[in-house]
Amino acid sequence: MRSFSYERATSIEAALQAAARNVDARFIAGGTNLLDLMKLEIEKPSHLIDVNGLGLDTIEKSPEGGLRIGALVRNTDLAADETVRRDYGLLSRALVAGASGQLRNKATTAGNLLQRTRCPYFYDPNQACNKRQPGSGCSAFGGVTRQLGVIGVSEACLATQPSDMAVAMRALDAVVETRGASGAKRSIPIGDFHRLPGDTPHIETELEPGELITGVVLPPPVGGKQIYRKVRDRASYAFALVSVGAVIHPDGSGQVAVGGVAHKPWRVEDAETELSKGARAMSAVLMEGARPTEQNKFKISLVERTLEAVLKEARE
Amino acid sequence: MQFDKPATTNPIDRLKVVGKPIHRIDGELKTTGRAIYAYEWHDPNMRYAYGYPVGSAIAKGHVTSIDSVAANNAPGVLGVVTTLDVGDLQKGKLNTAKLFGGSEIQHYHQAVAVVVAETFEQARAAAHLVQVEYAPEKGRFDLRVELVNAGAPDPSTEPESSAGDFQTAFAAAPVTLDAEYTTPDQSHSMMEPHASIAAWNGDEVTIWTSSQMIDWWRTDLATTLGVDKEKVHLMSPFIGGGFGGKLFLRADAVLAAFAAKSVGRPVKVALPRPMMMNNTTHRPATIQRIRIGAEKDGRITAIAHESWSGDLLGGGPETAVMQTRLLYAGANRMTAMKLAVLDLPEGNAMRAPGEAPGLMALEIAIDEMAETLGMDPIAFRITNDTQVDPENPERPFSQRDLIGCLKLGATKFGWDEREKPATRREGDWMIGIGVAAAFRNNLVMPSGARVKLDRNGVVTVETDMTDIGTGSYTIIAQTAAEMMGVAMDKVAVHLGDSRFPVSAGSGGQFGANSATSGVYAACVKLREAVASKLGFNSADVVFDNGEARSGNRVIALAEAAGEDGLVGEDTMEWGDLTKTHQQSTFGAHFVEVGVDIATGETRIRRMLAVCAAGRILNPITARSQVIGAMTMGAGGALSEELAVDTRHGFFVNHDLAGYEVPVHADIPHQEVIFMDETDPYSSPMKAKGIGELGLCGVSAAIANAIYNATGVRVRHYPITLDKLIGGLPEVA
Amino acid sequence: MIVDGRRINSCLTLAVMHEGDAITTIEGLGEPGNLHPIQAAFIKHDGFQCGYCTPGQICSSLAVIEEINANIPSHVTKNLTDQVAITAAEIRERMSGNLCRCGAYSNILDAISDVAGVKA
Repeated sequence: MRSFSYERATSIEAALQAAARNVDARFIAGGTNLLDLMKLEIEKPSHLIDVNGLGLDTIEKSPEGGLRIGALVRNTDLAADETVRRDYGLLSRALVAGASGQLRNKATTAGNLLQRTRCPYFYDPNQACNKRQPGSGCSAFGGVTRQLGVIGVSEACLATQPSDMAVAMRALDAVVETRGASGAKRSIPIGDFHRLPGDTPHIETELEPGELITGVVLPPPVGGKQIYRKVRDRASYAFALVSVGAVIHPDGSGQVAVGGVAHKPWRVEDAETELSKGARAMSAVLMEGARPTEQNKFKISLVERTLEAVLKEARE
Repeated sequence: MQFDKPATTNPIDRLKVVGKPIHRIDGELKTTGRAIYAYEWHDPNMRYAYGYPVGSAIAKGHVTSIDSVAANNAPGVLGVVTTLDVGDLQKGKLNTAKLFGGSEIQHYHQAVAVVVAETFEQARAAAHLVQVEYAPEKGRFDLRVELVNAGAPDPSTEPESSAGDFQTAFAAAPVTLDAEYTTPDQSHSMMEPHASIAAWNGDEVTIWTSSQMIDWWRTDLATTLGVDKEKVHLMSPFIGGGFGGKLFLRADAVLAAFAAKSVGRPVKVALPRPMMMNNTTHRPATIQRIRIGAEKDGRITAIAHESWSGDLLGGGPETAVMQTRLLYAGANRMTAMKLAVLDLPEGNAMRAPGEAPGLMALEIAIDEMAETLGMDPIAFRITNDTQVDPENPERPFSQRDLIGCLKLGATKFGWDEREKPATRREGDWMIGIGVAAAFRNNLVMPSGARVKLDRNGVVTVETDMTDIGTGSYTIIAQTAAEMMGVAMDKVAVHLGDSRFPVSAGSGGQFGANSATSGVYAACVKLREAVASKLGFNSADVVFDNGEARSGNRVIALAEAAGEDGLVGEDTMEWGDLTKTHQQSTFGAHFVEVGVDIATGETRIRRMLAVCAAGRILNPITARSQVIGAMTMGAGGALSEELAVDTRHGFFVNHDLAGYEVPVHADIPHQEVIFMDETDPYSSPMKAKGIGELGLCGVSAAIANAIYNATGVRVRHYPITLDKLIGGLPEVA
Repeated sequence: MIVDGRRINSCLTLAVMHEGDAITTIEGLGEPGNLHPIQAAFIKHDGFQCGYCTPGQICSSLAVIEEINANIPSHVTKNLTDQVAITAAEIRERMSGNLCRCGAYSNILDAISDVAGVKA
């Protein structure tokens, strides 16, 4: 970890100005991912702006009848919120499937969206990684890839986005609200928020430098059966090999997003028209164009089988 | 004391303290944060500096230059010691890979420098500024590829054995099995990282460290530093887990010693978690071939077990065939081990080396063979039990109650409810149960102790034995209390200090039996000293209730000790009873699993171990040893694998996020039953090892339960869902 | 450790971010001769071996019981809108962020269940 300076921001404007003053600055909220990466010098900010005092920690009804979740609401509190449990059960389920109790107590809504990949080559500074060091190459290619991406991957990067919460938010059509460096407000649909790696895997989201997430808005409750199914080797405290977040309506229609397969929560709206035909039909469209490796091709059938199990549960 | 005849009745047989469920005497320290581990030692009079290691970025080759100017100029930095600075060092005799010194790189994350600074954070930051240039060389990293180059290991490892004529008998057998099994590289991943503090005083150095084997470390550290062994003082009173990973001198101690010398201050060095998997040792992967031939009635007529593993040049094989020489009958047999040179980190002992991966394979093969024969797997094992060493039938087992373990376990577990493969369902869970035999040889090691009696009647034991979570403190106190006839609160135990008599140390499940035997021997000396001082005939003195009694004379031990106190010191040495009699420990593991029909995720629902391992010195700590081993076996069956990057030659998942050890949610309530047994051939304690037996066979029992649940036979560990889902039925 | 009543990982936060917070570590629970009931239960059930993870297991245990009482759901909670029950499954899931390589899990569960009043 390199030495860094630290300040506590007392307002959103102050936080944005502080970020504008220092291009190497990072906002810190829960810090559970950032500090880990700083110790390994994968993240090397020279300045930290503590945004925990900004008051963005409330959950309230949105004017449209949905829910506005402050950027700093802790994962524990979001999962335990009465409205979330009742109307957005998928989100609550995804949150408690992630990390550990200790981490969820610190981790925030915005931080969870921004958590970085768990690709082991990204974590080892001796290995080439385009995400860590643009242009250095991808040592995961041809290496150990069982956990890595199978769809939307590029020659430059096989990494996956590890967030469970983001998968739920993708299925629920959340919108990320931000304030740009100039103070301007912006709303980014979750589907546009995370990027595919392409040849710039180090650019993971649509956020501009110095832009601050202030909250996430969920549309009005959609009802349906809400299921989050996370598949992993261990029973707990492990990243997903595959996860399926779904809202299934009584008429068989629904919204489905998949985690553990891509650089972003994977959802193909066109595939959902196949949902009534069953898991096989839908996942054929959903996973079309997948480019798995020998080690992770099992994820293709695992997505289908997991979706099948989710649909079965929805029928029960 | 020489133990060369079977034990007769001795003071331990009173069992007033030994064998009782006594809670750990170090429990209050460990549950209140007062147990001090290596890195946390803090003497307010010492000005500690902090060392942070730099590991090699390549797996094989040479360091051509190290530029530490930037690191040296970084804030707070006191100095940088590089592998080129110290030059070639003499390697400790128990290490395969060199730990530090010289330009040669033998494996990934080999220590190449240590940066010392006023604070840990300064040292860590500066460590990233050290610029190392390498001349990489091509390495051998893929066991499967190197099989063709595998040869016979050193004869001292007894790589081959045979009896009868395996080939002919196997060819003639009406029922046969010939299958290949693989086990991956595994990591000890103890919770406490390897850590040391070194402080020099003139030409003497004191090392606070985390070591299972004080004298081995002391000897090899002296060799590496080029100093006289008497100048090295090691302290390791609390060890945050070892499992074999702290048997041999490690780089943290060497780096701390060089760093402390260089900066003239005490220096603390811990291996960062991401360095542990590649810098230290691991359990080597194996490829195993097992062939079994049997008559239609289930009697084995031919059995062969071959194993291939790899290690650095000069290393040894994973001895995965050893149990097959002893576990089952059969007149015609052979075992063989082959060793390939690999340029991966050093392979070495991890809990139950040999038997753990060997039984992972053998006990699946037995399950498969039973099925082919149409026999119950327990009945098949019982049919092939042997009470003598099958390779040397003149050697009986000292004790062998495998059958008792299997039968009792079957009753307790409800084995008769077992159904045909892939028939039992509960909702989306496919349910199965499995069994495996547990087997681990009982080893003994010379072990010394010093026992003091003071004027308050307090008995103090001093030995360099270690407690790595095994309960050494407690069972040693029990042994001394029993021998001297005092209450537990009149016994103090001091461990892990090289100033104390050399003990067995902790490893190979020899620690408990050997170390308590050493304490027994020292107590015999102390009893003689008491008797002699009191003018008693030592043969008829009774030590009880804090007193020594002879005839109608009764003297309190406090009084007997007098102002100066009394001391007894001795070392237990072992005769040839392990040669005349095969000493082993036995058990049976029973497991019930559920496999998710859609995803293939396996979750363990029930576990039972039945163990026959001689006298159980303390059923509380013994149970803990067994449940811990069962947990490690669960990890080995279901998730643990060091993934090898065969291009760059390193274990890729080198942290605890990537190397998945079991968590709470993976482990159900665990039952452990100990058979009521004493083994007079093992020691005066009549005890044997238990800490490794608990691991042996567990993973195979899980594998067999998965087969019973799903009908999918997986012979390659870990049994992850990707190896199952292709064989699972449609989700419906 | 427990910060303002919640368990967190001390290695993943900065001290400077906790000015004025109430912090409880293992040393603040009880001491030899005057143990907290959860510490006594860990000894009674032998819920540790090497002892290295034990301070974390114990602090986490207390917070887990509080989290269940506060009706915070977990991955194994059956119904999100019901009051969470103190069960062995809930405790196991919630304790899963505390690794124990010695494998004392079964005994740790007994210790926590004893204090929380759960039948293991």
